[in-house]
Amino acid sequence: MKLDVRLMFPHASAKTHADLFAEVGGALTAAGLVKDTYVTALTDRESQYPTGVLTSSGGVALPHTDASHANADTVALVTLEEPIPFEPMGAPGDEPIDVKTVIFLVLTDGKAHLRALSATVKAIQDAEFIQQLHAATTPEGLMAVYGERVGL
Amino acid sequence: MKKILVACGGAVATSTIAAERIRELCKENNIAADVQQCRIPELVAQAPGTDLIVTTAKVTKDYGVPVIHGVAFVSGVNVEATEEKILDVLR
Repeated sequence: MKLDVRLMFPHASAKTHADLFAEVGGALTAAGLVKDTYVTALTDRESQYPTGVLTSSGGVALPHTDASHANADTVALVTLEEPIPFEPMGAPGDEPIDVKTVIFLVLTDGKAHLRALSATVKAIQDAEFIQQLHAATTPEGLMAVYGERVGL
Repeated sequence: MKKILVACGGAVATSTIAAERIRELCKENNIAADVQQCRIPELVAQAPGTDLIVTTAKVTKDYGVPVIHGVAFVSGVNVEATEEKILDVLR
């Protein structure tokens, strides 16, 4: 799995899912890392199987599609200026979670990246890590915080 | 050998995390288990013959097999309670 500075969005101003998915999906598509079907698949998937997670350190979203829309394995990271509500994973229709940290998982094979995935899931439960992500003001800084933490 | 199905919306990310933790949990508790991942729509076909389904997404269908909600493996909230429920079904 490789990180790419073009996929890091610190202090992003997106205000809705549509804005967010278009911006990040657009960058992923332009870089050839996902197929043209990605943004639609992401939107459909989020409405059917939402990815909002409420950890003890706050709300995080992990949008992703199934492997057929990915061309490579990577992560796009967004820290938001204003929270965007995401419905909770496993409980669509429940109270939406206010999310300011969004991690797009782009995977052609999840099992091959178990280590990075587990490290990510552990990291999002750590309030200090979330704070460090939000303290980053440049794409390079954001990439460094995440990369160091998950070993990429 | 207990057969466990771990399902999520895409079968690629959250089911991988939950499946790995469930494998560890079974090992720690000396339970021989075969843990497979699949997508939610595949559950109908794959459920017969399994002992337990763990999902990170909501399912409302009855598959004739106990279903446990596994979001705790992603959120870190209430993990022990979820693990206890899983062990109760398997023992």
